[in-house]
Amino acid sequence: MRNELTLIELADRYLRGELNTTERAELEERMRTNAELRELVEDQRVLLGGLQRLALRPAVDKAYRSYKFGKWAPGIGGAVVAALLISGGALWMTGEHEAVPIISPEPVPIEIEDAEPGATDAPGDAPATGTVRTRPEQRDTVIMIMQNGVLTPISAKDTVGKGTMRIVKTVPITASSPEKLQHSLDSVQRAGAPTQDIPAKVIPRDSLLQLLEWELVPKIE
Amino acid sequence: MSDPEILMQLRTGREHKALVELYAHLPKVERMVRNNSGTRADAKDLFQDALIILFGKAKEDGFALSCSIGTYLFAICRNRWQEELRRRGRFAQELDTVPDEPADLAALLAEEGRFGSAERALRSLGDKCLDLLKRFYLLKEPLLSIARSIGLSGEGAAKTRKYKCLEEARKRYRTLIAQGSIAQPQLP
Repeated sequence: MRNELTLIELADRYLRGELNTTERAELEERMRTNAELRELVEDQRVLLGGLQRLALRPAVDKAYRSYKFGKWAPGIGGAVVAALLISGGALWMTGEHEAVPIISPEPVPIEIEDAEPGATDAPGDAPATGTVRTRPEQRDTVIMIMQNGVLTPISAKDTVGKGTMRIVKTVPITASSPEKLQHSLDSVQRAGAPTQDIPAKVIPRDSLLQLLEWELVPKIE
Repeated sequence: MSDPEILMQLRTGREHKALVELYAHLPKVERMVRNNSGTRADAKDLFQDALIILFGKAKEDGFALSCSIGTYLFAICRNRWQEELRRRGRFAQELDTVPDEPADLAALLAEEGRFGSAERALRSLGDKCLDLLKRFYLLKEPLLSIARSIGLSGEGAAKTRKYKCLEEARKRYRTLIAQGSIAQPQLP
């Protein structure tokens, strides 16, 4: 083992460029004639490359979270969230709080539009509400959706055939950090459903689509 | 941020903003993957692997791009997704080729595939070995100080431990290579 230990050290120094000209030439000459040694040095090089790649991953993951957060809460004041209630039951706001409630006591069946989910980034569609089908096992959830710092309308295409959805209220929020956003959400939650235990969460638009398709909604970080 | 600025930031350890900005290229990859039998999660893994490749290359001396960063990332994703489709037995599915994709892409992907296998091998070692190897090779911490902080008797013991970890990693890497493994998307 002693010998191999020395070889690994030699390989380390070679790969780091720490050998002097003579030492390097000597090692390279040995590698030319010794396949085993050549393989050892090459494997060592690849392992160090892998180690480096591995160490870069946390930064890439961290940036992903910022990207996701920025996408639906870019940190500009005056952003707006829309609170939706996905529910089979009847619960909506009565307007006793400061924000303007958008209430749709009579759910309107939504029109079917042919569109790829997630491809509709442009705001401008009027918020749609509607009932098409409900799942009895679906829990009441207050969903808020925001994108690019503006109210992201829940358009008909988002909700086609995807359960009962009602806009409960819209509320302006300032989201310069996840914590502040959460704080705003909590207040919306309290205002939106003071007497009921309904979880409030902000989800990105694509997650809303997943939720509506009864898929698992990713955890909000 | 311009491409050279992004590369500079990746290179000099001020990478966060640059990386966040690079995610702007993710939706295009998502479309490509989802239109070709993949999920959004597949696309994310693929794209993050491409980011790791770019990030790793950017840290190399003398790295220069022959195309835009967007093209570079997309071409990597496109080619690796094609590979994945073949692995899944979908030989007939041909993805559109990327105009002006980097000329050395095949070599790059082969090399990065090896790094990916090495990454998997290292990850499977466990935290103790990983920690030691990272300290020694990436943080360039002296063996003696590593030995002290992980409770080894001295430099010699640390050196032996490092050797054992490396040997085990190498063994596992060799096994992966022999299995013809394709680097799986990595999760933290």
